[in-house]
Amino acid sequence: MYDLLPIPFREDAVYHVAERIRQVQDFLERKMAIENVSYYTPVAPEMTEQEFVNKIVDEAGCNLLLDVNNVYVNAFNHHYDAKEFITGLPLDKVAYIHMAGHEQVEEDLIIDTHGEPIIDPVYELFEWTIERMDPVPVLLERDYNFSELRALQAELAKLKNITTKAWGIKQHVNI
Amino acid sequence: MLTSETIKYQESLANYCRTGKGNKIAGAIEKRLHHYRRLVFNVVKNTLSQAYPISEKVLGNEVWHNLADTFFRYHNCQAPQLWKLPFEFYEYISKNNFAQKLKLPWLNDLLFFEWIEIEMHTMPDEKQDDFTEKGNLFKDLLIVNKEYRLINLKYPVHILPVNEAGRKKGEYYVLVFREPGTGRVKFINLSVLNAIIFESLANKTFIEKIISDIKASFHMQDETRIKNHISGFINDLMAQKAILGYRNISN
Repeated sequence: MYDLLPIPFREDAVYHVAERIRQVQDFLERKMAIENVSYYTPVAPEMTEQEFVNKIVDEAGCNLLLDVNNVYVNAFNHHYDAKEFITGLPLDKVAYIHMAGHEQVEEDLIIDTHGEPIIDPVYELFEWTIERMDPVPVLLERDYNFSELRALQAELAKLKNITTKAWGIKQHVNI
Repeated sequence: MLTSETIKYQESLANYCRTGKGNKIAGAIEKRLHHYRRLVFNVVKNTLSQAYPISEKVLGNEVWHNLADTFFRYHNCQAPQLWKLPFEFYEYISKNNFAQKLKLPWLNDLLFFEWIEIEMHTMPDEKQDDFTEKGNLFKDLLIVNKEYRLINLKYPVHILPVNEAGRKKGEYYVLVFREPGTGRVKFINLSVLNAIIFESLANKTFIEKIISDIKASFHMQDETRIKNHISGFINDLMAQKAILGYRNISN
């Protein structure tokens, strides 16, 4: 189910989620990467989203799947600075990056739809982010409302150009 | 473990998503909650639409939407896997007599018929018994493809449009199986006699015993006719890979 209900940013939820991640990691005998998700309302929070993500990564000993679009969406919806948020994440633990488009449905609300092209401010945030971290694979997410193949290829090419510029190598960018 | 307080907040949000009603949720931005209701309902409705394209088409948008909405509001789903949700929908609709309420007697059969294709397509692989491709039909044991379901319908929704099927209540059998190699789900309409024969084969019964059972149950004495019938039926099942081959006993 790709529309996720928000997990309450609470201490007990940190331990609950971390325990489950550890179980899977123990079984697989390798680390997992957990994604920062988009959310449209907090639910009875005891801490910030950034604290919640950091505590889970720390407690579970897992990696982070950084969805740059989700950071942009959450920063817009909850009025925080996306770059400050990313700076506060353990970027050395990022194992994968997701990029996607979104849809603004109200004046103050963006929904993470995976159904639109990536917008320029998200490309800019992506470039700013990857300049601060080591190379990792990048995935372009698109679930529906597909553009013509050429348009999707152009999005991939743009992502590849940014990664090549930042990392000096050709990095895997997939859809 | 989550605290009872956190569980209560999550349940409140889930309850709101399902019904549009509920208590105030601490810290939540109320004016945005309806988006979650819309998004989650769309996921559920799309999942049901993909599972039951024929049912949706014949019921029409309004009835289909109302059934999906009622299911979403009142049924407490148990399976954690999204692909199993349509089966719970089928169970909910049949247990709550919607076929009777909507005066659509064929509804349960149509939903089940559509569900079984998903179940067969998605079910884990079964380890097949060893077999050889050559053998003696009347002396060797026939090896049935284990990836099958033999289903019984009251209305022939698998061969007729629903309005016509609704007037032909009876006993209908359909063999549904997954073709080895391709994974394709195939359907074969079976007579009662052929359903009995297939079930006997699946239970590893030798043809000789099946023939004597048929003679006794159907008061048929013409053994040649029975043999010819069984032979034709089994050849068809073998060609379609519902029967895989033989376990040689005759050598």
